[in-house]
Amino acid sequence: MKRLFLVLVIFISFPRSAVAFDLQSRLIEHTLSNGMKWLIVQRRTAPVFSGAVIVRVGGADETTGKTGLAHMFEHMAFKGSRLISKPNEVWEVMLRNGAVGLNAFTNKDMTVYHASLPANRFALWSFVASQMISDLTYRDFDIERSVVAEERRSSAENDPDGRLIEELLQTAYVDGVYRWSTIGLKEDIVGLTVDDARAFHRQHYGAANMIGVVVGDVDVSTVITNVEKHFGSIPAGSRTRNPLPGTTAGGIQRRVKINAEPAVIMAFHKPTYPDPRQAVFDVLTTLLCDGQSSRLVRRLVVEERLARDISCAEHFPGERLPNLFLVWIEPNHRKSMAAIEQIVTEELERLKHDPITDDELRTVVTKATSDLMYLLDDNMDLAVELGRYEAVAGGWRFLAQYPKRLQRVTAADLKKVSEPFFVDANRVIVERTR
Amino acid sequence: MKRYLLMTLIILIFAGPSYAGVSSPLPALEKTPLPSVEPPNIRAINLPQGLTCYLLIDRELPIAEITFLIRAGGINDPFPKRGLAAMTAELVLQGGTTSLSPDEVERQLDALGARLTVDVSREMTVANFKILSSKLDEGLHLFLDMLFSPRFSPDRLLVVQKKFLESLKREEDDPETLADTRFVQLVYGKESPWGWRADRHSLKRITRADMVAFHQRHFIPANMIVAASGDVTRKHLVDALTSWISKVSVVDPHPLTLPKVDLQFREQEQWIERPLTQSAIRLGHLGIARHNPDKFAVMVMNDILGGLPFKSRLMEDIRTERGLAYGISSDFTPGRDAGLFVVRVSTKSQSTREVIDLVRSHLRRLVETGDVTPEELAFAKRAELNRFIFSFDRPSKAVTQQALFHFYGYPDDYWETYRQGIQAVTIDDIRRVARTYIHPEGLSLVVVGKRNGQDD
Repeated sequence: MKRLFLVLVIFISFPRSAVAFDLQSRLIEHTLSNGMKWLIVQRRTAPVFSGAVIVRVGGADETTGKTGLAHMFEHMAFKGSRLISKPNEVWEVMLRNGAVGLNAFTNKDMTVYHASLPANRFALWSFVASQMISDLTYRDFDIERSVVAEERRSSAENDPDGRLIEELLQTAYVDGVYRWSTIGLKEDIVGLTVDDARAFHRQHYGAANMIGVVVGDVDVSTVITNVEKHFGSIPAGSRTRNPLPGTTAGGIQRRVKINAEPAVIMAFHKPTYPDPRQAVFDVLTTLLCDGQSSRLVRRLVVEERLARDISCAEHFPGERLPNLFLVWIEPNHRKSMAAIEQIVTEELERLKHDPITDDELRTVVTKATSDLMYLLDDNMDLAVELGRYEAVAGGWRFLAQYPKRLQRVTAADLKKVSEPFFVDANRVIVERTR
Repeated sequence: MKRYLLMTLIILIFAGPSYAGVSSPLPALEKTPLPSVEPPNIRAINLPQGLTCYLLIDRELPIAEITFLIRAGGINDPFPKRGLAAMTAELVLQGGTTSLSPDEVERQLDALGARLTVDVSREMTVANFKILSSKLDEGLHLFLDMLFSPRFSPDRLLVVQKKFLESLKREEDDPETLADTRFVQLVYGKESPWGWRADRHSLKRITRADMVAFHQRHFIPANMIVAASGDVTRKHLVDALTSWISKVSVVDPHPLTLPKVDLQFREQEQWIERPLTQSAIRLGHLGIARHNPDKFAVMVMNDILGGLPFKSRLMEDIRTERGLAYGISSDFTPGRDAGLFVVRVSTKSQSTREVIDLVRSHLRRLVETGDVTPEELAFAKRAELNRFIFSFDRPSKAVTQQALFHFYGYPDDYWETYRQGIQAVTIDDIRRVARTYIHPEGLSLVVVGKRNGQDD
């Protein structure tokens, strides 16, 4: 915190304004000889850092009958290695050294292991993190399967939104890896074995398939020395190849009975990065759903009072394969879903002939610029986003250039993309009713 | 014989890199002392009409963050109009200002790229505002306009009322939320300002006039603490605040007198029957006041019981050893009068009884045997103190903490009190506070799920 003080004192006497934080000039790349790439952003605000290891493997890399396997690694990583061998020793070591935000998550695209620690514990973190991903002992695999079954009961089985998502995926895809959610199917989870896990690890946990990110008060040379030492001996392996996209289904409207308040998801099939049309869907998420003045929130929540809440998502359920643009609506009491769907359809039709105004586009770009700056404020958030972009969304520079990319989108682009994509044949609707 | 021996040896060697001779590098990696940290010294700026402001300038990023803590929360609601504080705050957010229509305010906020949230809890309303510093002039003016001269547009009242009614119903869909709210009601009682909840009737009774009056009475400078950080200049901030305060008529704060919380600990349970495959369980009772001198000992005790992630008794037993839950934690949240002690866990229907019994036995063990080891104590203290830096590792966190200290009536150098408090905790303290503040025979239990769940 000493440094924070110094900054404070200096700037009080020079009351000029901060200039935009230039991520591109601040980020240092370093690739190990086994192919593992590291991204390092040094910032001295406080004597702490956040570290993340991103493995480019997720639910999309599983096979039928073995769903949920990618996510098991998140659990196994915390079971220790041969050198960190006592039960819960990973937690014990990290906590006694001041770690916060120690955790991992898995989605369709990737598995992310992360923590924040005091600045002079970089060597410790890099040792522990490397052990967690490279030298698994698979201790208590059976117990952990039960823990995952409990996790599934919370996030999917007994959560009305989780259930609706599973219905959506099964409706929108006839086959392929997007039919199941990352947590896996119940009947598959109980059948997973240590042998399955070992084979999966051999195939996907090679250095060429990993990215490391460090953000915070670290010296670049210390980072490089330590990651060479601890991650340098991980076998290179190969980059996981994307599975084939599944067969999509469209022109379907389904109603599912779930004992909960109603909800509607309208989903449209679409391409993903590096297709340039992705930028149009990024713009649409903000234009339609972000903020009270966005088009759909204004009409459905404020003017017509038909919905309590509405949100959009520009790449569901993953980013590595062609995916879905979602509009998710929570209707108000006794409001007709048909009326709501009609208005959403009208607004999407409007994009085809009544293009985005300059003011609207300016708002979208200002929001993207501001949100990027807010993101930079938190070491961990920044580390995870950089890792995500590097692993699955076109490279970390795409994050730095995000506002610029949106700025280049024109009214003509919006029209050109809306015309083929926002049509009934490309759409799936799932409705939840009691 | 010799040949067999040789083969065994070979198999061992090729079974993988042998770690027999390799000792763990951990001790060496932990040897250097952690950086010694001092929290930033943030002094209060006292403005007219009792407005207190804390400021931490930091120009690494071109953003500014301004948070208002306002002494207006659920405990200030009149009982028949429960939800008034929350609805007032939501209308401040979306009801426009005397000079700008709601649509115009929202259009400007969005065009500025600002992020504005309000959150209302029992004791306070927190309004958090983030913006690019290049747009701070305009943005701060708009934010203060919203806080100090809201319009409470009748059209928007209808929008907000619908939203609140709908949200109330949707809370029932999430077993975890439902268990939390019912537990608080059960422990404090439905008529206590610490336990009551808004319902359909109370929300429908709230009128525009109620909100105008509530705002006039509570959204006054003397009830507000400002926490500002980032790319801001002191003069700019102080001038903007002072100029707004000068337009507000002087209103004296009304200190709220509440009935004392009745410190009773009796066994009670509530099952909320739902056709679920997993039960959301809450077990606990009334906790301690935030000015209780035993607070730090209670914090460390709770860390040992279930406060720390994974390295706690409840987690190691119920998740790591038995695989009965995905998460389990205990919290001893101090309150103004009496806080809350709660163990939260979810488990499949069939193991519901088993998990409840296990939690109870851990509580009894802590109280009756007091078998806390020096290692457990040392570990919990070390984890608390070593992560201390993360309470103020960003300027916005540091300054908001400082504002909270003021709100709670803590000294400005509370971090020092905290550090010394944790350091001083002994095993005897843990035994004593366990006996004093945990009541294994007076637990409240809430379960959302199947009462006789058999099938999975």
